Amino acid sequence: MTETSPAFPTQKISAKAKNAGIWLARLLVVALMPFILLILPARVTMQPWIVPFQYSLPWMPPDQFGFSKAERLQLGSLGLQAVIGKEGVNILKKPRFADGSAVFNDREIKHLADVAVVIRWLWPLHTFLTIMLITGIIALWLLGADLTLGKALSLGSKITLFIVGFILVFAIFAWDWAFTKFHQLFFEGDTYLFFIDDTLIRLYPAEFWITCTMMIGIAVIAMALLFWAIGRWLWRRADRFAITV
Amino acid sequence: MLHVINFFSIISIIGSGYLFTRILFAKQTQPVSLLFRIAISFSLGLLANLTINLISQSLKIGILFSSILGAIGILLLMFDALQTKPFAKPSLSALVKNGALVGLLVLAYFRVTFQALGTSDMLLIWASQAKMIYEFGGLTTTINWAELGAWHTDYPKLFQVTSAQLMYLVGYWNPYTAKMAMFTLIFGGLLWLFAFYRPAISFAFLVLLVVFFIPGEILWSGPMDGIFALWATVATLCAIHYSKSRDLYLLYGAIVAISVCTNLKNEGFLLGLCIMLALSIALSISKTRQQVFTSIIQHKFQVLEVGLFSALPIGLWSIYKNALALSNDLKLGEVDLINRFLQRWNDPAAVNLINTYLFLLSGPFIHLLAGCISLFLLTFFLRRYISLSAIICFVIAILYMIGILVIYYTTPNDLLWHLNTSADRVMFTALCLFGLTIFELLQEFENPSLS
Repeated sequence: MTETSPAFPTQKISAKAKNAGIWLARLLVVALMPFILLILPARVTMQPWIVPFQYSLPWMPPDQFGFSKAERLQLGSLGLQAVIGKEGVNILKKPRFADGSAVFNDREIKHLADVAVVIRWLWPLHTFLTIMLITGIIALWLLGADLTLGKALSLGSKITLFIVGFILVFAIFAWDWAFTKFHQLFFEGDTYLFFIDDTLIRLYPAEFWITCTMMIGIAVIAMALLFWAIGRWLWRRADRFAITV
Repeated sequence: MLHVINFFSIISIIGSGYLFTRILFAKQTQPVSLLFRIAISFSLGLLANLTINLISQSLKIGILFSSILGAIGILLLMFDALQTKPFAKPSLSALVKNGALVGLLVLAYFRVTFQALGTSDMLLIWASQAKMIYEFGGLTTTINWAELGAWHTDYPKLFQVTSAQLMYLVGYWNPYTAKMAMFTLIFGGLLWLFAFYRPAISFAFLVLLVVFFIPGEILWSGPMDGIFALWATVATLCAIHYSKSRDLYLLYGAIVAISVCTNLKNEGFLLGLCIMLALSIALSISKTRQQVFTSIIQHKFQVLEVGLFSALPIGLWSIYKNALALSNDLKLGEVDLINRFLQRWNDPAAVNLINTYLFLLSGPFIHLLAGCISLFLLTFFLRRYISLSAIICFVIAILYMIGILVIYYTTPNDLLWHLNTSADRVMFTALCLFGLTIFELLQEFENPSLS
């Protein structure tokens, strides 16, 4: 099996140097793909559309402590805005109940501030690594390494699927442990735990998170399968080309 | 009337600078484009005008000298231009270039001059200082900046003096005349930028990035940061092209552009330091270092002439500052500097705040950095060779970034306030320099023979 001719007129580099380039580019693709595919749906989900969408779902329970749907929409969007927007969590200090007390308590604001910090770094990191992944793909394509590109996409997708499966197993058999470990990765102590009548739980109940997780999970699996199919197609095409030649 | 005067003042600046350019390029063997000559003349004219104002401390004398020099210079320029290529038919590429340049200049003129003063910084620092100079009839030592309650009085005075001269010529101050000099400075920056014109996507990318995407509205209406970023890009462009071609006129261009930067904003010193450091190291370790130094020594008088001419206005301004005890609000010379730095360095909250503001909230830093690394990787994968100019440009950008970080780590002001009020604008230059690296790398894909 041989690689096809390069799509870009490269300088006269030795075969050894070209192979090293292919190897590095493949490493980029395989190593970065799982991270990119896992985070991308989360980024798409954590956008302003998610709150009205979630509240419009039939299985979303009403608030048992008295928030109307309109109030939940407004406050839920505000909470999301505090996490993903430039304004930060300060916007959460303004809303008040009729008795003058704060809608979001200090503990909730602190947690959302922690989440905002994680997101503020995670999203740009994802952007950066996505560009690196695209670089790897373009490099392999320009070097005419269709076979390697196909194999790399296929392997990257398989690793992603394996990680999703791994998370799924833990979610089914050791939810509490997985939930705790996940939060301990990013947050101090038990700052991520709240009472059932806290505003955050009333705005974003368990159903909200289950739906989000399912949407993200399905999207990750779909994308991984798509890339796996593309990888396989490239692989087969390169194989066929090599045999024809 | 205001527009006519502004037009003639720009012509006069080019003319007065051309007198020096003519002497400088008298023994120039390599062909230098007319646009490059005009751009360097404009910059030298700006510096000459500022120097005359600093020496004479009078707007009237400054205008008189600049006008006489300008008239002589412009006649010489026309004479020389006609002698070189009197009836040469312009190529399509030249037409596109000139069309794009004129289009941008017209746009800049309308955006700058048909809009009143915008942000508070422009009003409270730059325009108000220009007004003071106008009211006092020149940049004299009789202006008691502190008593007038002015902000950032230690800032270099290139914009303020140019603006005050226009006010003096039209005879009044208003929120439009104060801004007119912004166009003058943008005009110079754009001339320089188009002196490096290439009919390629990379050039379009650079222009769009430096003129529109990064500074945005601030280039036309705000403080000097957008204009400074434009000139900083030009200075770096000259320096990296010098590293590529070793043509001395590019080195002159870099020195003059750096001087304009230092006379625009204090960050100009940081930029100059970064460029000199990166260029010196790169040229010292290059295989052709012997030829580079021989060439500089052979033209030592020209290099010295440009160097001294460029250092003069900022040197005079330093004397002026010392005489009036104008100090920088960042207190950079103090012993306490290291303590402040260490204190913030050891404070995770401060580190996080600085990193967040500079890297995440101030424009497309991540995208441009990723673009640079991506193109470096692609060039390396495909060609096993990365041009020296791209590496130097990247190093300058990184060094400048480090300098900015150090400034925030050592600021005596409240960190959050300082970051909130300046981080996004200060980052313009760093972002433009990363954009310039992308431009250099893209060029290699467009024309591999360039390197």
